Amino acid sequence: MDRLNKIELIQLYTAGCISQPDKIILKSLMENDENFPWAELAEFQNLIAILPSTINPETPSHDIKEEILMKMNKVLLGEEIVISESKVSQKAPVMFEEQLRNNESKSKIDWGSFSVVNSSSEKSQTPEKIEEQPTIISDAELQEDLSDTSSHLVFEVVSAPPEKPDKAKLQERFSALQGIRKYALAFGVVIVLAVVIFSYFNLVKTSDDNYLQPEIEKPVNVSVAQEDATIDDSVQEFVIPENVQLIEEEEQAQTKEQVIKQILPTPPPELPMPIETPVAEFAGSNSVEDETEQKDITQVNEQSALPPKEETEIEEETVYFVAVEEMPEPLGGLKSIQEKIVYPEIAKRAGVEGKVFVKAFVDETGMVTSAEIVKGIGAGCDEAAIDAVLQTKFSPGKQRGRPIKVQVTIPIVFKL
Amino acid sequence: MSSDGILTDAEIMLKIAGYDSSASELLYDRYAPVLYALIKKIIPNQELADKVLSEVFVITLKQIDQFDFKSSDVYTWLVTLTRNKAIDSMKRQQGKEKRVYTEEFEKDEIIPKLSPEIKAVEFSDVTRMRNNIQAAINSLTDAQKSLLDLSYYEGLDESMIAERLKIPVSSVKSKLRLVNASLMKQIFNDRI
Repeated sequence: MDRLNKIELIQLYTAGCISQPDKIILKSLMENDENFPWAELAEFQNLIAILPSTINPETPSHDIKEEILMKMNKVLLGEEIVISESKVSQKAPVMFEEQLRNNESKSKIDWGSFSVVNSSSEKSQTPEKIEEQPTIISDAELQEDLSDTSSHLVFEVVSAPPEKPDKAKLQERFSALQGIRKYALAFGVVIVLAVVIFSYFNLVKTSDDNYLQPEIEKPVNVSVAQEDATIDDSVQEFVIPENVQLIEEEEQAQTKEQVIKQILPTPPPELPMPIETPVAEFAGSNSVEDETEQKDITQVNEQSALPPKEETEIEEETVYFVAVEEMPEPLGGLKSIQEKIVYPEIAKRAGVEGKVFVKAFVDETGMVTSAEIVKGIGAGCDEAAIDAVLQTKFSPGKQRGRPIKVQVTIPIVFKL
Repeated sequence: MSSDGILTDAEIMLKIAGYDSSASELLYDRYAPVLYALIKKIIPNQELADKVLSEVFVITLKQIDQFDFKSSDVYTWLVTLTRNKAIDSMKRQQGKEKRVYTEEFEKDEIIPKLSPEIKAVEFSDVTRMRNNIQAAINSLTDAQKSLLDLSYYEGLDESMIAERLKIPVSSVKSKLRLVNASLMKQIFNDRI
């Protein structure tokens, strides 16, 4: 096919009257033809697209705008699952309910599949979080917000039946959000535990090591069993590579004893008494499992004497919110980050281009404390993007006027 | 942060890609009137037109990964997307489109595949060029104008246009070439 024929096809295509067989030919040319006249395609696409600008613009009614913005927000929520922890008391609950009512399959998928993450992270994170409780939750207001959030999360997870997820998309979302969900859920659990612990502390004075187990094991294990039962296989496969720790957890969930081992080593050293005491209340109700538990108690207790493995995690456990009233903005705009990009030599030579999504953790002063790749393109671009983000100063995110730690996802374009 | 009215189209798209909901409102405010007018020209039915407008914005957000941030031609992308979507919706309403609307169909037929060499057209540029574009269209003959209308706004393919205009298919092609050449000369020569 000569060049003129190709351009003729392009003209028919851009004008919108190309026949179906010709369209297939053109598409295969676009994919396979090294000499495809891209410049001409570009010109005609531009030309045709600007013609409708001569139609008199018509502003849609306010109602339509409201409706569309709401839908767009839903997409943003659905895609990113921005569980707006800090906005919970204002806006987020309403949005979630609407999502439920609408029964959009998209959001169902998201919520359903996220239940995997929730349950898994609950398993692995709960005990560790208990340790952090005193340091992190010092503010009563924050506590309220967080418990709110957790209840909404549970609500969503339960009501959304899992469906076959789009793996590729989920992968992105998982990596982007896993952290946040963990924090939110873990805090909810922490608070619930704390309440239980302290209320029973006064009632039961005796501490019997043997009874320690059922209390902690029961709630976690039950939820695990429920969640696992509903999880689509593909989702499980999918989640596992996300987090090495999760792999371990999933496997261990198979046998009760193993679960117990995992969970029990981590009762907070700071609060030994309260945790042990309340357990007594639950021991009786858990008689079926007593035998296996008894066996494990000795192991467990040995383990709990060991230095806790979560030492490293403690440092990272500070909460970075996802959506706050005032999101952090890079000083100088996104452009300022773009300008800091040093295009890696290798990427240049290999012609690597594309979009890198970097998640930046911005503290109350607007400094980026850490950054990680949500979606990368490799060839050194990911590292370059992280470097650029780390060098960037932000205006701090604010909630109710108070500077707060926030995580933001920043798209960075690599373009030769 | 939504107070900034001088963001370029590309910056708005970048913000949307970063899940910034205030940016989606900026995009809506800027483009909805033009896109809505285009949709209503294709679809007279008010209710369906409203629906298509909202679907266009939802697709934009959902498929933002399909947008080429390298050339960042938001205008051409959105208008082409809107035209494709509106034509498709109209054909479906009339029972002329039998293929099932799947995500794959959307990717193939609705999401524009712009040339990687495309030059970004900025919204403000087009607004500025509007009179010029109108003059270029006015200079076309009636037959040429109706060819453009039948193709772009009614979604007829070349053989249907030939039938409607009672001309051979080959004439459709040659007429279209003339139309494009004429518009190209008047619009883009002036711009450069």
